[in-house]
Amino acid sequence: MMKAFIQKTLLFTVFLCSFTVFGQNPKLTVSGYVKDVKNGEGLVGASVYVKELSSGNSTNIYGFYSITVPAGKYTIVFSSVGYQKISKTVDLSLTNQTLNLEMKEEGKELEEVVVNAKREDDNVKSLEMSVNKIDIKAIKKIPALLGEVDLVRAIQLLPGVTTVGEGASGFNVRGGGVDQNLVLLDDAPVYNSSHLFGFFSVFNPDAVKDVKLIKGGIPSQYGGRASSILDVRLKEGNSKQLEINGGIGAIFSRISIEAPIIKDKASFIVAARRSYIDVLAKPFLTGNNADTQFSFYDLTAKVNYNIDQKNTVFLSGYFGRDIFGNQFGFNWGNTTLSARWNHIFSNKLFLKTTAFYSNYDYLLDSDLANKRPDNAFKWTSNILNYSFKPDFTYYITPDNTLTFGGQVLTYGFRPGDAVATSQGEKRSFGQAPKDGIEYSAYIGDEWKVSPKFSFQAGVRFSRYDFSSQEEFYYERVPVPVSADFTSGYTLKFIPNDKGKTLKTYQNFEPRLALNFTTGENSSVKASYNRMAQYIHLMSNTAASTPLDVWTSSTNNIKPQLVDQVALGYFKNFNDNAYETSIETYYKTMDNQIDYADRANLFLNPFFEKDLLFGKGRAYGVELFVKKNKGKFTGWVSYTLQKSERLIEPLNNSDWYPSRYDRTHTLNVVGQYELNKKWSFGANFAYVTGVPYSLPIQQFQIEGKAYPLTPVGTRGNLRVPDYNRLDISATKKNKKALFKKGESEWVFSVYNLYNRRNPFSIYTRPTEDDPTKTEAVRLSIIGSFVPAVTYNFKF
Amino acid sequence: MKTKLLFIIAIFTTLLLTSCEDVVQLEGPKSDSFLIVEGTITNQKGQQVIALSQSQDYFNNATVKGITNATVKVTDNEGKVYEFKDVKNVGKYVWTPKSTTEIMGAIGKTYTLEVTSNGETFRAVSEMKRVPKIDSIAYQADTRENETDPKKPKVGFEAQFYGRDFTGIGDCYRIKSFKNNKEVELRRGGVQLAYDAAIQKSRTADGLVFIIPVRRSISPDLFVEKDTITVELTSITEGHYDFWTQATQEVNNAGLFSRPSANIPTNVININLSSSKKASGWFGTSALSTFTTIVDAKKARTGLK
Repeated sequence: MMKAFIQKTLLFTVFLCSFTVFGQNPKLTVSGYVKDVKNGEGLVGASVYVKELSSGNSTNIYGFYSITVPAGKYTIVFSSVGYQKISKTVDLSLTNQTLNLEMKEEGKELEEVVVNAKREDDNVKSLEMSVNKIDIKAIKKIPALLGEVDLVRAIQLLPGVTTVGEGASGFNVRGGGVDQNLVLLDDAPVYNSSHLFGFFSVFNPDAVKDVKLIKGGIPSQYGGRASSILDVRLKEGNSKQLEINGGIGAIFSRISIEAPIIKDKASFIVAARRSYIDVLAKPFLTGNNADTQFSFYDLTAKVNYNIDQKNTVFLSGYFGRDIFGNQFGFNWGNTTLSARWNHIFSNKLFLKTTAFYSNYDYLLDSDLANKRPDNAFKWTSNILNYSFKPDFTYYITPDNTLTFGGQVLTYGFRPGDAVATSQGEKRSFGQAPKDGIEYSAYIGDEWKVSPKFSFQAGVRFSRYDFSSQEEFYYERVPVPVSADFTSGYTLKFIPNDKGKTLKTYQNFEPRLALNFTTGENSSVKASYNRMAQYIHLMSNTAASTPLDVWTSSTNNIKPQLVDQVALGYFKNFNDNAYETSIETYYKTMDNQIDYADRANLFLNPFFEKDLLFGKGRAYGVELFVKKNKGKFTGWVSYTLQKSERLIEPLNNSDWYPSRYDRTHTLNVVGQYELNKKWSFGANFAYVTGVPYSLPIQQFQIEGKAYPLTPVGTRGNLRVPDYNRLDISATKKNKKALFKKGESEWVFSVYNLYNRRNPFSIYTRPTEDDPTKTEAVRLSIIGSFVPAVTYNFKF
Repeated sequence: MKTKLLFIIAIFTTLLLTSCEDVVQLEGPKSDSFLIVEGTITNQKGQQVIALSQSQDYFNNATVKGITNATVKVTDNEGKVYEFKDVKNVGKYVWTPKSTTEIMGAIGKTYTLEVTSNGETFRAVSEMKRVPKIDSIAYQADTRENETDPKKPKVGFEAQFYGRDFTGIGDCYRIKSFKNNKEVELRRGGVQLAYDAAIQKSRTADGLVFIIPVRRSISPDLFVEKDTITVELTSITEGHYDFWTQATQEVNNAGLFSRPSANIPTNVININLSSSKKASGWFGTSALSTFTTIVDAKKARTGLK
């Protein structure tokens, strides 16, 4: 570890020396913003190419670019998929130049699907591997459950991404847990990405600009989660004119409004969605059920203001909630707020400063209407973040970019406060609050050494301080395994100085990505990353529930550490119309958590005694073929993988498949534009069933059969394989409401051939005779689901 | 609370989407049979029974076989031995008092069960815990509009029982209710438990009046005029509470939020730890409180929480 660190430090010293050498040449810089002429949105990843030097760069997530070259006159070509190329001559003989420009969408006879808003050969030329970017327009073309365009469900069609089953919340990347994904909404983490358990995600597709999923070779600017980064960027809002988008679907209705506040200078977007099952069901709910609440909604908003050439500020927020229940009910939701200041120090140095707040909370109440305050049960829980993070980008040469920055992230864990009132007597209980601060600093350099070789190397240093405001903290002490101590541990009380740091963890997280260009349109890439994660989701159920509690790393719970190596070959065909890649990865995971028999994770102050710690490993091969151009577009992804855990004493202390170990995953996504009016979409998914275990014996007590599973076997059998076909047809209308704008009808059928895909198999006593036993196959979606959605824009 | 919550989640999920269940035929794994102990010694007058049976492969739905020709005895912590005899030769071992005044169980005593069968000896230990008295049963008029079982009343009285848990964390109880001397079945099967004054284990319901969910647990269905309501509150050990909690959880462990299956604990062990012949089930000891009332509309209360 230490040796590796020293090597890294040396490597960096060499880099920094090389920068100063470059810095001595007389060089000048051209920089600026590239935007979409139609709505003023910054174009992400547009290519900025210096013809004379045959080299170039691309715009960052705000559409900013910077190129530093020896003094002279240059022709710079700006290009982005789906936009008209722009060529500009820049005189850089004397001074640095600023060049902002707006690009126009290509006029086409037919509206082709733009799968990527980026350079056409980006997947081959860039250093990124194990990365999937999907344009929101492409996501909107995928046939969706109940016609609701859904980002997380679309991601589940990509290689290396699985889920434990239909309706399960979150997603699993390369054999990692759902808590190992950092889901960012304009830089603020979202702790629960689902509405209605896992059927829909919290992202309003009308407010999303682009989505990037990083599964491996994670650059040093990202940290805090072990398996992946899902970076969701919101639209900035149309800075040219008023734009209204909306839709009426089977589940949600949604509307978004974007408009300039000051033309070309400031704009905003506000987007809202609400489900209305409760409204429709109201007439059918009578008596005790009349008060039933059953809804979910979200509100997404963003404003931006270009103060001047050098300064832009953004403010964005998300607020969403799911509400269920009548007298007894619960609700949960995320709130995020992020403020960002982008500042250009010089033509070469770009600073992005972000401050954010994120809160995930839930409430469970036996008495929503407050009818019996003397006899009630209330339970609240939340996880709260405040963070400040500056990120610098230094454009040294067109071929060499340095990024560095840091972050302070505070965590407040309130895992469960419950108040039980019986005949007016109140008792409070639950899990002690915990606090954490994560500090991190990173540096990374991306360098195109030659046309044949480029690399990105970096390191992130993270430190985590755990503290508690309680009078006691607990230490795990081994005891003989017994019915009361199934994990073999008990907890010792230790008096605590409130607020004192009880445990500090520090990690160096090296990151490396290499690109060897092997031909005009092909490359070999390799990457390594180490990720440290200081928070853990306590979840012992097949699918994670909204009530699962996030907990801090403590003196007992060590941070999760993941090392991943990946190797891939990337090749494009037919003028980049086809992108193909094959990647293989191997991942080791330390300090993984499983649970002892009868572990109680809710409101149990002593839950740390019920935890079991061990390790995990995951490896696999991912194939991806994508067609980007033409009337027919889409992709095929196939993943062969294994995800295992070794957590003693489970499974007789042998490796067992994790709940999301799915050997084969095949997804085929296709879209066809027939003419200006009609387009069609289809997707097919085939996934190996999840592992499960059966009891071996039954015994009878009081006239009922009970199972015996004495060896703690995990995953010795598999649920039958999953497969499903969805289709959709979209009919575009020239005019929307009030004869303005445009509109479309989307007809879709989810699970077209009406397959009952099993989520799980379980055993139970039969209803008629509880001394008899049977096995039951549970399907979450047991039939085909047709839907119609109407979308409009004006 | 948690199970109720998961239940609600399950209901909503079911309502919204067309989830469905099919019974499927599976070949279960084959393994050795366990010796199963079922029996609870009480502090009541009369016979005490301990049943021994064999476990069988999970999907084997044959009638369970009793274990005969075993020797079964219980020894209390003062050394007094109680012999149990399988009079009918079906695996039901019975201790019969020598006189009408002889009572086997006493609060505070520890009892050791010893079973010898086919050359293997099994042992279980349990202490008889204290039980508080039931102060009253109250009922008020109520309706169950959504009752689908024609045998169950839609209009009647919902009953609650009142009692106060002892001070001291960790008192565990099992609650049964009877309608006209017939045991009332819980809505979702299983058994009704209490840990101190609440259902779930926590350190905070100690010494309270049994909280609402416990109080109301005796009335999953409504009672009607002239029904005799009997409530039995019995003490159980914390191990026995865990046994029932786990057993109930294992037979209701289904759906989106199911847990990995866990073994149902047992207090019966083979004294030869290395023997391949294992035992399961539970040997329990319970002290009992009862309260009986007859429903009289004139005495019905209003505004009960």
